[in-house]
Amino acid sequence: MTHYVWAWAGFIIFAILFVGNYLMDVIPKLQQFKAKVLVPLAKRYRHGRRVKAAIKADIESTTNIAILSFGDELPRGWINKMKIDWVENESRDDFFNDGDMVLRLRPLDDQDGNLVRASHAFLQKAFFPRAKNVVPKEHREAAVLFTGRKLMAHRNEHLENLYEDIVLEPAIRSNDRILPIMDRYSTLDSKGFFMGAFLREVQAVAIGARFNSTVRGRMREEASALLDHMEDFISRLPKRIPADLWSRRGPITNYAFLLVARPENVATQNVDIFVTHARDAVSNDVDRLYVFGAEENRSFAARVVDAIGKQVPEFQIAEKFSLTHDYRGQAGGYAALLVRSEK
Amino acid sequence: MNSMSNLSFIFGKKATVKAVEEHDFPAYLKKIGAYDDVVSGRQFCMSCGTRITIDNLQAVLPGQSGNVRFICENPSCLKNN
Repeated sequence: MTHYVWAWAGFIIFAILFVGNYLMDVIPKLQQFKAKVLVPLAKRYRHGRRVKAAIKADIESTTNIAILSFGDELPRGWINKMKIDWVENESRDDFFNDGDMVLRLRPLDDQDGNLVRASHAFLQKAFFPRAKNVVPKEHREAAVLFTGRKLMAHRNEHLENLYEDIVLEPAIRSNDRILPIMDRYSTLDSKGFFMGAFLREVQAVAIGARFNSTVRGRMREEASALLDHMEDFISRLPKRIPADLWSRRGPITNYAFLLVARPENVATQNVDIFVTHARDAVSNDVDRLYVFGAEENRSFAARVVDAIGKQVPEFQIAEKFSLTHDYRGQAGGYAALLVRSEK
Repeated sequence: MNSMSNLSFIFGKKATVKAVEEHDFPAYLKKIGAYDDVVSGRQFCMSCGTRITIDNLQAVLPGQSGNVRFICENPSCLKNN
């Protein structure tokens, strides 16, 4: 009888440890706890299993927590959870068959440098899937650098400074087009339009241009035109925006913006006016409609998006996402992208 | 991020970054047949053209013709992976 009790107790302890370890590997906050325990312990050793576990847990938790803080602001499908895969035991055949880059990570003494380099490599890999070679190089780099800096700033000022020194500065020195573009991204980001609309539009245009030699050859001009239009649009806020600025017809996409604004509509929960705007967009052949709402009107903006999705069959809700800044420049915000169903 | 998105992020697909820890790196280079090229200084960064040494090597990448390509420690060179 006693043997059974001990066997069960052993099994339960094993199961708890197994599940606990699994959760500490998958949930970023728990992973951070694991890193906080492992890193000081591993610093006693120069290398080995403990050191690798600490490096891995620290990089994964820091990157994943920062990415979670962006929420779903980045386009859907771009960012998955980061996982460091130690591959020292892989064969030469595995190396060539996988086709992936293998990064060298330094000892724990240089863990901040590891974090910066691994996160940078991760973002490089994630941004502009299927369209990396179509998006102009300076935009691709500037978008990764801008986001990487935000990611590090989320952790602490030291990491942000380190990122600036070892990633940003060399990149800017090697391509003088990057810095002016990053400045423009910063302007868009202050109103939620960088990740909210710009990255999504560049990606949509780049995907559409892959097998269109005319547009593919003019991607640089098209990316600039998107920036020009969005900068112009947000610079008019909060004043009245001229009718022709609410949408832009490019060679691949025809997008429009809809701001869930006006206090009287929010107060009366009047979604009809916005549904009418969406119908007007259909009449104007808009195929991508961005709906933006301020943080304080989040639930009403969500109702507007759902109402358009139900009442305007030409549009389907492709993504609903949160913003770090709303169109008024306040923290938070809600947005959605509706795309035209096949005509 | 709403709770559903949180869950799909946590339990969903993972993006893997392949890595080798410093101490294991020379052995790994030997395994993929790149160590001699690195220590002899015969290779250059595929992005900036810097001569590759064991100290400044940051990443390796399989080339299409069965060769190994090298990336130096300048992080902006990782862009070409």
